[in-house]
Amino acid sequence: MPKRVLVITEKPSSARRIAAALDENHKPNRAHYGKVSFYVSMRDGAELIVVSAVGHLYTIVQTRGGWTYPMFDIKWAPSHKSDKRSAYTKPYLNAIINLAENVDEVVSACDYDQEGSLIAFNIIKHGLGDVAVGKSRRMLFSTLTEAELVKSWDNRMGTLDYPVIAAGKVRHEADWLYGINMSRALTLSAKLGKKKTLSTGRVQGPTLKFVYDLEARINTFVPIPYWKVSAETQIDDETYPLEYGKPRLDREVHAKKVAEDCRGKLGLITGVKSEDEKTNPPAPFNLGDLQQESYRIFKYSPSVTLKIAEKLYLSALISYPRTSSQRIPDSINIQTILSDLGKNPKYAELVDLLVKAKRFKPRQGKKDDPAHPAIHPTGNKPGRLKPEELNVYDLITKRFLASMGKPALKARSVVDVDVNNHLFLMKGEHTVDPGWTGLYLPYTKSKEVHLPVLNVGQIIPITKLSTRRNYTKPPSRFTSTSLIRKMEDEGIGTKATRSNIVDTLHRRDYIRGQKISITDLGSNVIETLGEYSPDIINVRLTKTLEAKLDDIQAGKVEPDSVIKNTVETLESILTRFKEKEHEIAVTLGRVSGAKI
Amino acid sequence: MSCKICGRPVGEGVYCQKHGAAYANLEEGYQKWRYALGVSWSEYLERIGKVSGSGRWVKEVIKDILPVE
Repeated sequence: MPKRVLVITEKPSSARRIAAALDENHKPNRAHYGKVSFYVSMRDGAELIVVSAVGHLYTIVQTRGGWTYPMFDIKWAPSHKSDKRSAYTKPYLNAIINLAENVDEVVSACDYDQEGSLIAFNIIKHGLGDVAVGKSRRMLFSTLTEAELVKSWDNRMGTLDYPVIAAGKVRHEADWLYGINMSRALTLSAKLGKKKTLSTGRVQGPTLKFVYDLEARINTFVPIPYWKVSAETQIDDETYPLEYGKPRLDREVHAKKVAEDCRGKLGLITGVKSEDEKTNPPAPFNLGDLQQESYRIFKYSPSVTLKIAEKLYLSALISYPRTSSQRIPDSINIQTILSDLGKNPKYAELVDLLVKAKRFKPRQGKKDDPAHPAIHPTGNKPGRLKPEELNVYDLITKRFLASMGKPALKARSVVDVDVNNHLFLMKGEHTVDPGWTGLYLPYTKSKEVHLPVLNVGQIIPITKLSTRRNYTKPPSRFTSTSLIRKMEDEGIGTKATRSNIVDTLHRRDYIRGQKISITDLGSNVIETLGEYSPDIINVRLTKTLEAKLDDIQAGKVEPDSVIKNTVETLESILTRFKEKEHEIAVTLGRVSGAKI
Repeated sequence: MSCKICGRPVGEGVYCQKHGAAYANLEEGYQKWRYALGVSWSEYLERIGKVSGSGRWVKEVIKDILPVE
């Protein structure tokens, strides 16, 4: 009997790709267990049964009691048993359990992150049992290309990746404890019954607070007037703008005085300065950068961009997108990727530029991720992609190519013009060498203002002069992208969960609009929590937990101690909530018209 | 005591925390407007109420302060 190995993947499409990569003839046998497809691959004399999960097959449930709080008694159970909406997961769990009979080894080939590691662990631990856990190993990979999957198979870990699993497990359990308990406390205090619920969570609360705080700054904003003076000159029938030396004047009388002094006068050129400005290439994308750029260029929301990027990853076109890294390690064979990309006519010319200049080192960003490199193309040629998939693929590929480009060089010139003892400036700029920007078209634009040749002592006419009153503006509202960026900067949530949290705030009717504003309900929830449970909306609490999760993953902290600490923190918050239920009900009902 | 504008609880003065912050910004802004344009307090309030970008709570405070015509 050949050795039998069960390989568990995270999604059906990755099962097919992994099975094909690992089969020595690249033709695995496709079979079915009920409605679930699985594959049998042969490798090194072993029979590999490659079967997929469909995301999480297990979830957290409470072990006693009803819809009340505090609730700290929890366990992991099959998702299909706890929620009808997860019924589709049942056939996958049954298939895995049955196919696992008499296997000699189990391999977790889920995405390499806390979620992926936990998905496989729960199936093995709760579905297959402790004996299976003892003979389980882990494949680690960042792309679904054949070469990387084979390498990952050959070098699979001797055990599961327990510290990553532990961090993922604690994250889920802590989020459940905070989310369920605080949401029930809010809802029951507001006396809404079970049909209408108010929700908050460990990351959701501080994120909503960011919106609330910004809303307060906008609502209390007082615009201040200021004046701008501008002029025009004509040289050889071309019109050129001039800016007043002080970009803003704080008093109307000053602006009027400048206009009176200068109107109808000539300008004397008193200085001509020119200097070159170098702009280094950008680093390749991490997920946050990709989401931001994709919104800037295509107006795709962060969750849409993530979905598209995941599809491209599952098609082995790009590396794993849920990464914080802006760095490409030396272990990645850039020249092979470039050679493959060069076979695509769309990128051939750009690749040729880099190859001829022998530029094979991407600019490395500051942010790193121990599990995955920055997002980059694998070099595999895309088949038929939807237009939005093609857009994101092109953006990622061109950013990757641009990261290896030369710095861009611009010449900037400033001409000083004296008009009746008032200084005006004439500004020009033009590209000397486009460098990396030439590889990142059409996603970068260059402003070109060519000035004529001008010399000190030259007299020029002032053909137009105007003053304009402006007002300072309130801070810009968050968009989904900038809110996610704020979460990232504040170190809350994960690259995988941030866009979902923003979507949840929309769904809960706490925030609205593309330019996000807070609703009365959202304000009300924040004010209530701020009064009775300020910790839950304080970014410090969730940042501390994120740091502890990192420590668990690094093997520095015991997972149980983090859960114990979470329960203790919640106990004190919830006790106060219980004591103040009446006052909280009044606070929650304070805003008339709030849909609670 | 309740806020004259929205009925929320009041700590000090006649406004809640939100409208109190808006009033404080109005007072601070007036110094800059007086320097810029030499306007009186009531002229300032009337003009601020019409400028786009003035905050919602600021406008509510102005409505409370200015006499009804």
